Amino acid sequence: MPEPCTTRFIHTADWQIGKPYRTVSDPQNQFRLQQERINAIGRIAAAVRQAGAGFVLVAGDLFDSTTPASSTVLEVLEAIGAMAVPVLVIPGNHDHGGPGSVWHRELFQRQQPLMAPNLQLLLERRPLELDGAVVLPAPLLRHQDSSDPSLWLRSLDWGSLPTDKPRLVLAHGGVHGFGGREYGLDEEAPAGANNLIDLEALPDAEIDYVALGDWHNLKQVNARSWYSGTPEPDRFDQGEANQRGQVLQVDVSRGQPAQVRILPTGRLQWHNLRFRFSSDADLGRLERQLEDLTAGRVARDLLRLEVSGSLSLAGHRRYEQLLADLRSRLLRLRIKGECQQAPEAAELEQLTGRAEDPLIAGVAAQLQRQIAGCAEPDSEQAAELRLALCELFRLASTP
Amino acid sequence: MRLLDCQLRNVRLHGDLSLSFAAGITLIGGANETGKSSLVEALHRTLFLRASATGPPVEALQSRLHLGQPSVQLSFEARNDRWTLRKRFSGSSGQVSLQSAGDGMALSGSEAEERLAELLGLSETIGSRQANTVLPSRWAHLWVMQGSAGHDPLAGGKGHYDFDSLRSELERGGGAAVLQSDNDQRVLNQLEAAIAENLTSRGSRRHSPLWQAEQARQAAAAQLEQALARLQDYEQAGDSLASIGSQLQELQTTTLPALLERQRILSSSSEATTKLQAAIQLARQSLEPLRLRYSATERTLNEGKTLAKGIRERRQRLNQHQQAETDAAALRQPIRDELERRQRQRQDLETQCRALQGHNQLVQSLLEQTRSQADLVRLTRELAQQRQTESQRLALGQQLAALPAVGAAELHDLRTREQQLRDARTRQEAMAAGLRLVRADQPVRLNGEALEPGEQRLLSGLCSLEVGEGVALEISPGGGQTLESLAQRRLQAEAGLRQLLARLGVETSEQAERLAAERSRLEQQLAALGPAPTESAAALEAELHQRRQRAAELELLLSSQAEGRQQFERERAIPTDPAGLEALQRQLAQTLNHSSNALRQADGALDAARKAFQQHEVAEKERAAQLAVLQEELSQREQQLQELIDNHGGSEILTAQLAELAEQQRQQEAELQRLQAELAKFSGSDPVREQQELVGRIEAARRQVEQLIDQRGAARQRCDSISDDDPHATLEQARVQLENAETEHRGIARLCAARQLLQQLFHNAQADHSSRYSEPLARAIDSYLAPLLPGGAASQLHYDQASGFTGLRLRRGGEAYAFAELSGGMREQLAAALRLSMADVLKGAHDGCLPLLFDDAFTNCDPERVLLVKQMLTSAAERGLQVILLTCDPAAYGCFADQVVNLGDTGPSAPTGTTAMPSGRRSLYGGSLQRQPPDGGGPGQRGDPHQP
Repeated sequence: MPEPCTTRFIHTADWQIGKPYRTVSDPQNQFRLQQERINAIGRIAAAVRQAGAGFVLVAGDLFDSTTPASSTVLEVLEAIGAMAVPVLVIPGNHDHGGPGSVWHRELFQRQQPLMAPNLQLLLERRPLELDGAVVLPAPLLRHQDSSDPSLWLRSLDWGSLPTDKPRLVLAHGGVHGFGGREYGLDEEAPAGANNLIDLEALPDAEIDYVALGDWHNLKQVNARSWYSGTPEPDRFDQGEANQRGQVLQVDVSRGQPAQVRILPTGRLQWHNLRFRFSSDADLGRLERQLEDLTAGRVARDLLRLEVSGSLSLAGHRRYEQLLADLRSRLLRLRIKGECQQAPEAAELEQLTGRAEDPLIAGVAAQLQRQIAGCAEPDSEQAAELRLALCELFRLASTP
Repeated sequence: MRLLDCQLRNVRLHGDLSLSFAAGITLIGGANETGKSSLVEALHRTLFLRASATGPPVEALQSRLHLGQPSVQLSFEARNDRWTLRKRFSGSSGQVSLQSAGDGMALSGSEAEERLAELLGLSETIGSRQANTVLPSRWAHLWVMQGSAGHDPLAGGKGHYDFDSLRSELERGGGAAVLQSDNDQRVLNQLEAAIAENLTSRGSRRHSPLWQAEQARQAAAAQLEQALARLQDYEQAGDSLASIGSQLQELQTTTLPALLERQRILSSSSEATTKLQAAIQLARQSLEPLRLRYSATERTLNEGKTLAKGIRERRQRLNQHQQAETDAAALRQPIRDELERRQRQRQDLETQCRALQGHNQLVQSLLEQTRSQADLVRLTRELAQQRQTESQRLALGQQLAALPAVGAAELHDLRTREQQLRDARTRQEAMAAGLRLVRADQPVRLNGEALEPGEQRLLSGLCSLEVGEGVALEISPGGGQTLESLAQRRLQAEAGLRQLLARLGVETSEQAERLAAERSRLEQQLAALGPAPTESAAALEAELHQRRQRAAELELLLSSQAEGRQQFERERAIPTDPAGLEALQRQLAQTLNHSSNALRQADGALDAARKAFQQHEVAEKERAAQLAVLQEELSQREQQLQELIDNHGGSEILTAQLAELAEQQRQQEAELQRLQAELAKFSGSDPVREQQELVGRIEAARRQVEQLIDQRGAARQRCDSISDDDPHATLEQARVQLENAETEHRGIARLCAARQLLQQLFHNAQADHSSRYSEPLARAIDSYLAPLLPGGAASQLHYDQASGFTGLRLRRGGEAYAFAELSGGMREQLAAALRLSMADVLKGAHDGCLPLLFDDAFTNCDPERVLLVKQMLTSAAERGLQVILLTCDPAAYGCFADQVVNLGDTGPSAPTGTTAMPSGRRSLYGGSLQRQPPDGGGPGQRGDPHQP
């Protein structure tokens, strides 16, 4: 019986190259975000070199869609071609391997052997024997495939596999028993793959490592199954413990537990912040928090700011100014919720206390009463009333 | 502001007209064409048109009859001063002067015009350019020109009734609070402008921000739809590519090879078919006997099984029956014993009952005997008593019969008669004359009978009295005939009494009374004896006899019961008194009742026991019969089973045979099926035709392969061309755009809604305020109309900042009528009331007075209404207003004006000197025309509010 060999490789997934970031309005920032994903390949290549890994496993969703721009495809081929090791790729739900998808495009088929001969696209569900391992790919081959792509492994003749090489399952999708597929409150996050992989149904002793993709955060599912997460964060996420922007360095040999090390590769920072305004004094507090969060960086942070509460009219003008500043400093500022503006007591007094302008005073007082009587302060009606009051304030205070 | 007097020169038909105005009401009369309207127009132009104005309004003043330019001199009071205004209308060279009586200041030219405008509360006097447009609106609310009395004074809009002054006066009247400020109006104007920027009455304004946002949203939605469609297109192309791929695979790897294989098979020989058919025939033949044997064996086996089962069942039932019989036999004796016990019990009870009945009869007899003896004693006693009473009654009866029959009635009769006699006697004596001889010295004789001195006689008839000899007197008493009849009646009474006494058999009435008392005593004694008994003594005797007979019978009965009595007496002492006997009888009856009940129960129990015994016996018989049947059936079946085993062997043997036969049959059938299947491959249509068909199908499959390859190419090309555009990115872009457009639109729409809300609130607030403007006016109108509409008029009008006062209405009988809906007369009156009300409000800014002028303004009013109009105008004058009324029919107004002017006397051609005279309120019309003194303050007679 030959000596079992130990193999080191890099496990990564969900590169989501070509993600359009159209939700980012500034074209320049949009471009930066897109470019950063391609740049991440360079950082992965550096990690590979540094780790001395024998090959790279990409567990699906290398492209963000089945239809990335041709230039993007070429850039990817170029970056992968620059790596000195084999890069084994399975299609995921975003870039499934169905006919007509990017993998079958004439451009890819023509350019891949030329530009990235080290790229091996695994479209067939059968064992692939490498020098240091046996790879068992579970590619997603069709648009809307809800079957378990690892099904074929259940009827595999394991005895036919070499006994000295570690067996690596490469799959994309959710797993039974892991319900953490929802991306928190990020309403922009697209749904994950709808196929589920039943890890329990696979013969435990026959497999040494399962490289999973689809969940963008780092996650160890069981002793030998990992989600590597995305190498470069691509969305706002709510989970506190969610770790993104890394690849996994895996040392594995047949029949031995795999040794996993986390290598950081992310560059951009995506922040989530919830803030409630109770008074104008809170503006200063928000400014300090933002300062702590972005630490003076420019064009490297994205912020999802969920606001609630209300400010005075003057406070609201300061708030708008603050947002304008943030927009120019951040790659993206996404505001959720609404910071209401409502005249504070003194401002209101300016309206209701106008004995010389009885109509303005009367209408302002009536609006104030209606706002106070509103059963649901977040309703459209209440918002309209507040806006009317603000508009009255604006008209009355501009000569 | 109050007009004092005026002088017109060369104004149309007026060569020189002077007249003065009363402080209160001035009535100017004059037939048509006497120049009333010329006067009004001249005054109006003098006040409001620049002297230097040219054009039709000035030309209209010029006279064709008189030489010279039209000129007017008008005196009036304003701002606590008295002014004289002179205007000469001679085109651009027209002249104006204004002189103050207070400080003597004299102005001319534009200074005079400006000052005049200021005194009138106007911004300017009107020049030629505005003469046609603005001039008619000046004081249109105060002065009614001929023919316009029925027009709505508000219809002309704010410009026609000095809206701004009216508003500020109303605000001043409504308190210090300003009801709406300029700033309020400015904000509202800005708001309305902002709304109008985005919205029209029909929706969003074209090219406005809201419209653009809507367009952008629609465009974005359309783009999103397009992007979705494009992506779907791409995905469909991908799907069809996959489907084409699998169809190709199916055709190339399965369908075509199968067709080719079939072709190969068909080309081999048909010999095999014949062979197979023969083999099938053979297999069928050998299968049939196997099936027959199988079913026969199966039947026999089933028959044996059925018999064995029947035997088992019957044995079981036989055992059950035998067990039941044993159990029943054991029960028989107890049931019989129970029956006998019940019979004995019943007999005992019966005996007891009989004894009790005997005792009962005995006690009954004894009781009857005791009662009978008591009755006998009582009856005997009663009989003796009755007899004694009867003898007493008889004795009393005899005594009564012996006494004369003098009863109470007879006694009464007797007394009546005695009374009658006494009465007759008394009356006779009363009627008779009395005669007493007191003394005589000569013999005196009455009826020949001498009377002695002291002798008294009663004279009841004609008497002769002789005194001595020489004297004879005849005396006749006073009663005459009556005295005789009284003597007769007395004789009758005496005879009646005697008769009655004789009939009664008594001497005197006293005797009769005694007899009656005796009789009453006896009758009382008889009554004390009581009534004669109804039951006669004989009946009592009969009953006594009957009782004695019954006693004898009872004695006989008791002697017959002597034996029972002795026995009973041994058991207990028999009482002799009736109460004791009755108690005993009750006791016995109770005991007998109990015993009878017990007996009935015993009868029931006995019947039940008897029935139970009978049932038991019947059941025993039935069981015996069933047992016999079962035994017979059992032996019969045992015999049959034995025969079956003897003929065919036991069930094990039969089962083994059956299994063997089934296996043989199965093998044979499988062989048959195999042969048939083999044959089926060759059967169907004839091979030659199928061959031909196959060639066609193979050809078609190959063509389909080529077609699919072509389609695959097209689909792939479609996929590639769509994916070159990156449909996913396009879709995301479209989503973002739509979201942005929706946000933008929502923002603008919300702002528009907020502004509309604000506008609405402003309007509401204004409407709320407007009542503060309109109500004082309406109240004033109502007070003027009160005499016209005694039912209580209620005028209504709206106010809003933009259009001022509108919607003049009058509420009558619960319904509100618009101005135009009112009758001509009512329109005139309502318009006049409104004008007076406005003047009331406005006068505050004009020293408490404004002149109102009505030129033929009540032509539609009937005479009754004119009276009321006069009241209205008088009331206005009392409030300090100056009223100038021009009419062609002054007679209709009678005398109510402070001053009357008649233009008519001189006729239209009167060249000059048409003057007015102070007439006083009660003056007649048509008086001589005299020049009115310049101060003209003639309203002395009526109470001038300014000179209380």
